[in-house]
Amino acid sequence: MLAKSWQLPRVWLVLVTTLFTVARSAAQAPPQITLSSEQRTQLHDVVSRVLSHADQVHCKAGRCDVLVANFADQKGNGSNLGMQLAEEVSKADSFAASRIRTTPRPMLQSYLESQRIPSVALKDDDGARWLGRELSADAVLVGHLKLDGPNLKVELQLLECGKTLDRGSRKSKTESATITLPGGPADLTSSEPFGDLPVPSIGGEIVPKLGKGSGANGHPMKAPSCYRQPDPSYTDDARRVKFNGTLILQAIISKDGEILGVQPLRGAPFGLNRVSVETVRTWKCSPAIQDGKPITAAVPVEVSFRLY
Amino acid sequence: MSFGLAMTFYAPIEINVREDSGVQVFDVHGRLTIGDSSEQLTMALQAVLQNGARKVVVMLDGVPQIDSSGISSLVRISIALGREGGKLHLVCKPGRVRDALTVTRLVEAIPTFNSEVEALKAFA
Repeated sequence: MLAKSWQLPRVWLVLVTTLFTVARSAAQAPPQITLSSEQRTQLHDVVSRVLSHADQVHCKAGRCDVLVANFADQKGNGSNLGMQLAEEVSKADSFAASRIRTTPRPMLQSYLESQRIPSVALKDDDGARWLGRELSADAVLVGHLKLDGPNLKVELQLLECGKTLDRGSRKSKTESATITLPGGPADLTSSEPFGDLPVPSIGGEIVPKLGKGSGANGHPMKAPSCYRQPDPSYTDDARRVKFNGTLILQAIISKDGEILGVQPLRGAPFGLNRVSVETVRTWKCSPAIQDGKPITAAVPVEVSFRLY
Repeated sequence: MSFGLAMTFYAPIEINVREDSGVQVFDVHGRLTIGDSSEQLTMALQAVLQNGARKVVVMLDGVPQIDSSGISSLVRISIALGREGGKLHLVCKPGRVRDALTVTRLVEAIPTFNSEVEALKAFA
């Protein structure tokens, strides 16, 4: 019974008044490096070696789709270089030679752009597997980057996606290559695969955002208050992997207190974006007030998932 | 991502499917957002896929709003079609929904056209 009580999720929903800053987005990243043919060969060779273990993750020729995830550093941070190398790896001839298909990378980038899930939230095997399953892949190819003086060590591994996030899901043997990049040590500055959100608007009119000391035209704004705030529930996947974390949504609350739209600002994996957006859309709120009048405003909402 | 937020009454989504020169054309009317509407489109497209359709056009001109869930549905549908050797084209005129497709880089992942004629022609 005690163990069961530990499994109960505790969800905190708070209207936050400060916006976070995210890591540099891909749109702000420095230009891509030019890989030499030798470096490409090294990368493609390590792909061939890891694909030779594809059967270890039940990935059979002609019946297997692999998602090449963005490569990350040891802490799970994504980088412009990690995205570029993943792009290069996805083009390796050995996929075709092994009769293994790759999920088109633009689909992944568009998915991450819409869901705004930070790389670090996908750093564990479970996160990568979940992402692969979301995009209908049978296996996901993950890459870890390690700086070794002027060299960059690239480690690749295949993970079975499966139908559920089982702890016993298979993973392949890890294969690695050490490459020297032009221009000295590799730049692994943290960078996310999504950019800044556009300014929210309704019918062409800009909606003011609530933030620290915010207010359109310099006029202070009183934050909306929500008098009915049901909690989102944990998803099965999130509970299974014992996910603890926080996501931030942007809700647009009309001058009538109606929730007009909700979208992730900083998302989370395991289906938590979906349940959080769905739940916040049912909230009942009083509008933001400016100059004594109700106004429509964009409000950041923090949703924390904690398992005790 | 921008939202078409003018609608405050959330009508259910309406999907009409027709065939034009071997291409399944989906006329979508209503918000393509989280919940039933996104799932409804996914199910409709899965049904035509199971019936052998491989070329699909989704008309988004009747969609006033799309969110992250709607975008994800289109991504998954496109992947599913691609796995079967098929292809998805979108039709979306400039506006809020087109802006959302651009911001989320969906236009780089799925061919998107301004008119049905262009979308059909691109299959030829």
